[in-house]
Amino acid sequence: MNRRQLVAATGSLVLIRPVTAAKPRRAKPQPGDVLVHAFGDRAGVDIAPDDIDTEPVSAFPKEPGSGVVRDGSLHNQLAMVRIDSDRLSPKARRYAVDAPPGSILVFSAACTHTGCEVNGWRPESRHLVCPCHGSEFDVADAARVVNGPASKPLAMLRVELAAGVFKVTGGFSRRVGPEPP
Amino acid sequence: MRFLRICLLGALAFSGLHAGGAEYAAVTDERLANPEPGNWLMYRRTFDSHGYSPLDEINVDNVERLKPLWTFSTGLREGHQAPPVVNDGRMFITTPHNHVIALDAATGEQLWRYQRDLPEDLWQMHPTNRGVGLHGALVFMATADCYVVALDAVTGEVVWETEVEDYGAGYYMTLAPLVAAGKVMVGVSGGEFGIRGFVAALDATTGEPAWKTYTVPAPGEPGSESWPGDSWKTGGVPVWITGSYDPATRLSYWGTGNGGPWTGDARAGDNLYATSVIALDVDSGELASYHQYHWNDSWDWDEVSAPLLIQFQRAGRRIAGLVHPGRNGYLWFLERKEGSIGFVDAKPYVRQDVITAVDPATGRVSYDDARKPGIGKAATFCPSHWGGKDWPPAAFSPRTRLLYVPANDNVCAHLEGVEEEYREGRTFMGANMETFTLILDPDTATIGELQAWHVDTFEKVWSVAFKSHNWGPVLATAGDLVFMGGTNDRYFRAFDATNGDLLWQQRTNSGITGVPSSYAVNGRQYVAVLSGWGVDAERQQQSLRDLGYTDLAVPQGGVLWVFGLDEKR
Ligand code: FES
Repeated sequence: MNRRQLVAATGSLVLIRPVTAAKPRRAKPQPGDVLVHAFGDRAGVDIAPDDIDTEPVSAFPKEPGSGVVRDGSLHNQLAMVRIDSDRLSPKARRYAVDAPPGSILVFSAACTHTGCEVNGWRPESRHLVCPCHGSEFDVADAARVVNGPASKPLAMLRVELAAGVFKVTGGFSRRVGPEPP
Repeated sequence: MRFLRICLLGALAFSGLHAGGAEYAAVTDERLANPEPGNWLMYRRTFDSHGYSPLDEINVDNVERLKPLWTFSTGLREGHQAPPVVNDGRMFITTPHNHVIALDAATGEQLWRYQRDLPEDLWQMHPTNRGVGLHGALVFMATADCYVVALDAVTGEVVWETEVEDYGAGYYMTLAPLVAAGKVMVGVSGGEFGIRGFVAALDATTGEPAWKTYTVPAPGEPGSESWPGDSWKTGGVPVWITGSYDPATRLSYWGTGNGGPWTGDARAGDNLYATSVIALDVDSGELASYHQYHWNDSWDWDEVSAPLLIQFQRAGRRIAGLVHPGRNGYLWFLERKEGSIGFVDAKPYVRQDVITAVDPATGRVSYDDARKPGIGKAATFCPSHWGGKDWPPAAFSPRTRLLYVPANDNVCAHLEGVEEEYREGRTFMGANMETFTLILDPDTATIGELQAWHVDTFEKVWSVAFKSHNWGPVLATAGDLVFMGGTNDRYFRAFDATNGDLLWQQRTNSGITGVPSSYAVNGRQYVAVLSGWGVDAERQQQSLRDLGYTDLAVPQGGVLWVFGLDEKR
């Protein structure tokens, strides 16, 4: 029994099962993970800052040691967006990575309404759009809901730019996907 | 195909008359085929899908005395669409997020509650559930993570559960199971996720898979020539509303949904058996016959409502019929024949500008090509993708010979297809969401309607219109009443079945998209309905709000309402 389990077993009612070891493809993003292209010809290839232009880029975290891409759950899918640094709200700025020209923000692609994949994009307003029921999220304002049935912003993931690739440095800003009923 | 069966408690509960120490009236094939007047044992009460109760204590003469007797809050948001199913004084309802609640149908006392532990990363494009099926002492629910769960009717304990498909590949289930001939039959949703649709049957007692029939044929199978290349693998054609059943022929009749992606040029061909009625043998699952309402669907017009089995008259002939108010805006009359389904007649019941002709012999439709969207080709069409009638079921009264259709008129849509790469378990609609919108004439004053059509004369006898769009399932009763909610003003209403006069209404907590039912306990008649707005009713509300047609916000949250006559008078 490792220390985490020991604490859990003796100090609380919940036994923590180490999911990460059992199902790396479904495990949540871990610090040190590298972000790679999620789909298309370059699926699995490291994302460079220049890959992100005016359109959002879909990404998954990759475990650097094993090379396992964590593509087993929509809750790991990310939307990386480039935006002018001076448009960022104070909250968005805390999660933004400086990558001239502008900044990169990394959002969860799981809609906070009922969990669909957010894969729509309004370039003029820089809103991410969920196709299921039309929720729209303002990228510059930390994915605040500007339209539709969602009531919570998309989660943001804290990353850094290191040696030309994006590395996960922390957890999500909030719960990924919808609230439990 | 993955069928993983987990038999938790064994097959203990098929007679189950004394399970848990309480009396429970076991549900047999005979009772399902011929239910007692006071019971509502399945989605539309009877296998013919009439949605008709033979109870008449509550009737046109006294309905003004109808009062809420008790309510029950589910504690959940989103679309509450299930009928209160009642077996000898025990009621079973389901909710979004797959709870099943058993209540004393007379007093409202909660007997038990089952809550499905759904996976955290499950998506729900349509967070709803449309009710339970019953057999023996078991209660069945089809779940959002694509299992069928069998619960002990007395205790709510899980007796067995069977995985029908992998939710990770875009499959999910929302329909009430059809239980007949010892089988639990379910269809899958996922027409927006590149699934390959099917109907599956499980043994009602053990949960063992019995058969699985795809709604999209594989290469070499009959109908496969209507799908180019590999398009059959991701062709959609979901089945998400409970089928009808004819015990005499042992055939079940299912409505099928849209092809995927949405615009037909992405899968050029007729695309059998999309947007059709299919007849499946309940013992073997074999496809016995079909009729396709419209070929190469390009408007998201799922024809998933099961046809009503009605004997109607035409030109002096009595016809064993299938009657279907289509999402495509036509009202269809078909004939059940030995080994085939024949076309009788059809006409539009709402504004329809896509179909230019219906072949009088075969029922095959012709299109105005300018109204057929494609990839890079925008088109405006009426009715909208939500159709003349979406899933909310119509009802039929054998007393009035009228079919009661919850319709939406005067709404059109604008859609353009886009090329879309298939990714497992992700949306696969191929629609330009930027430009996808409803279209309303500026002088539009009403959208929702309740229409009454005589099935023998094929005439519209009466119609009631509402400013609001209408998502109200219909209940007809022998008291010559028609009950329906469905509007964004939160009312539940009773109409005179013969002329459409509004006789009674009750404002509720939320908008009503629940299927109403009626039942009796100790000789007293009740009418029950879930109020809880969500899913497409809410989505259409938002689209109409965006167009400036309405500014109402409909509150969410599910409450069961149970009505009876005020006995104090
Ligand atoms: S799941 Fe995204 S808007 Fe409903």
